[in-house]
Amino acid sequence: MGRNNLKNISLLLLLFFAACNLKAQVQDILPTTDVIVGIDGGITYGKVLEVDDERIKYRKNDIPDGPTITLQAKQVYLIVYSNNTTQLITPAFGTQKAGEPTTEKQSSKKKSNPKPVIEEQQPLSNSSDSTVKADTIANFKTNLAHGALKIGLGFQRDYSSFKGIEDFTKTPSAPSLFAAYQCRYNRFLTLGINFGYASFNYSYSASSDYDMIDISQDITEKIGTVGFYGRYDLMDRFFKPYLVLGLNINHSSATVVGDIYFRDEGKHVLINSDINGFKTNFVARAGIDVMISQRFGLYSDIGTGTNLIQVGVVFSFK
Amino acid sequence: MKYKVKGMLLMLIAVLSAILLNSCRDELEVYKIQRIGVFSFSNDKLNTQYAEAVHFYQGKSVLHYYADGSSELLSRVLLTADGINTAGNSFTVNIELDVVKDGDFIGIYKPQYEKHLGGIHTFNYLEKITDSTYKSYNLDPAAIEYAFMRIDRQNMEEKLILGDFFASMQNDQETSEKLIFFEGTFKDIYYGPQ
Repeated sequence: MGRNNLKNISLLLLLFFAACNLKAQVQDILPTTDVIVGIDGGITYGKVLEVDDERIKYRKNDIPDGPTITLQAKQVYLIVYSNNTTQLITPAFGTQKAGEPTTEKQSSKKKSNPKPVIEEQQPLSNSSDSTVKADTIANFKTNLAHGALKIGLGFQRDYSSFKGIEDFTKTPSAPSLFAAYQCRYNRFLTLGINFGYASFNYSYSASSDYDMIDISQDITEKIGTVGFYGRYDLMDRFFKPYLVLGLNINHSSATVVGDIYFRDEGKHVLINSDINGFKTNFVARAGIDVMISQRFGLYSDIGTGTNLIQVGVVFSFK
Repeated sequence: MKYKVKGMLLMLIAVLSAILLNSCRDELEVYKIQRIGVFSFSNDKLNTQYAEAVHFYQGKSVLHYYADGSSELLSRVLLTADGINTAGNSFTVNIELDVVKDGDFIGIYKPQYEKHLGGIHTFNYLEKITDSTYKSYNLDPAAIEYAFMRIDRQNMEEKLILGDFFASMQNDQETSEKLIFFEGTFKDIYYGPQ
């Protein structure tokens, strides 16, 4: 009898431990706690009490009566609530809170219980989609402040707004100046705006013994450029090869100085004229960024635009 | 969907505008020599008469005998100029030159042939008075030594010649009726294959 009792007790204990173990496993799969993911990848478990633009307040699960712990919102990437919904706090590409619906933003200065009022919470299975969406359009404004500045020089002129310039000989001129600011639009696409200034010199001369005439023309063309572009990064490492497509709006102003010399009469006819106007041209370039540090790098690219080749520096504000 | 269509339309308009702006580049004024053939003369030193069409034809080979008994094979070329004179009558000037075959036309051609150059074979002027009446003039024998046609410059690349000429003519039937060609000039006359 006593032996049977001992056997029954042992069996009961075994079932009890098995049940406890199973419960623990279920808890691992479907957590009953809120999970706070930091921007550094750190994970904290707890009960989120309050979320606002500046801070996150939570209490540790294992000390339910313990103190309320406050985290800076900018240190938190997202919160996965126990009901399997997520809330993006600080986007991966920025440090400002984003990802909340507009209606919530307007009314979420202080919330004592954030979970019931989050209207756009997504199920955990869709969290990656929502994160991508949040990382793109919703965070573009944020990413504007954390883009990259490129300053460069252009060589080998590739553009003129004048028809007939093909008859002229290019004469040496200073490299053109180029500056651009770009920021990430989504994980693949970077958008940018660029400015440029170039001054090109051209000359033409013709001499005819038959006509006894010597003709010379010199042109100084100054081009101011404003453009926008989309850039596709092929790789995001130390070397960043990329492709660029864009549109440039160019303001050209040129001074044309001409001299026609009639040899038989010994007479010069001097002609000065100015040309101004706006023109556009499409830009297609391929290049590479070499990031020497997280914030500084060099770049070079080649393609259409004001110049064939560009080289310069990149300053990143991430 | 509505916004997508709107966005696509905006993008289309932007692309079309860019193409339009791109296509209308400023035409640069390049100073180049314009070729316009000119053949003109004056019969009274007051009014210049211009030919409307000038043609230069390469003709047959001819053998010319000089007074010293020597001979030279020359090429006959014909210059014709058609126009309307100040009297409102159509005219044609026909000048036949015999030139050496070296392709260099530069020289002063006269009715008196010069060795290694050639000379003027005929200098003829036709004036249409009515549909069936013409006047014909040829070099005046009394002043033939003054007639000349000078090819001053020749553009080998473009096959052009320019120069001037003078001739004193007389009517073939009324020899007392004289006609003098003053200030005869020609420029950019194409002598290549027609």
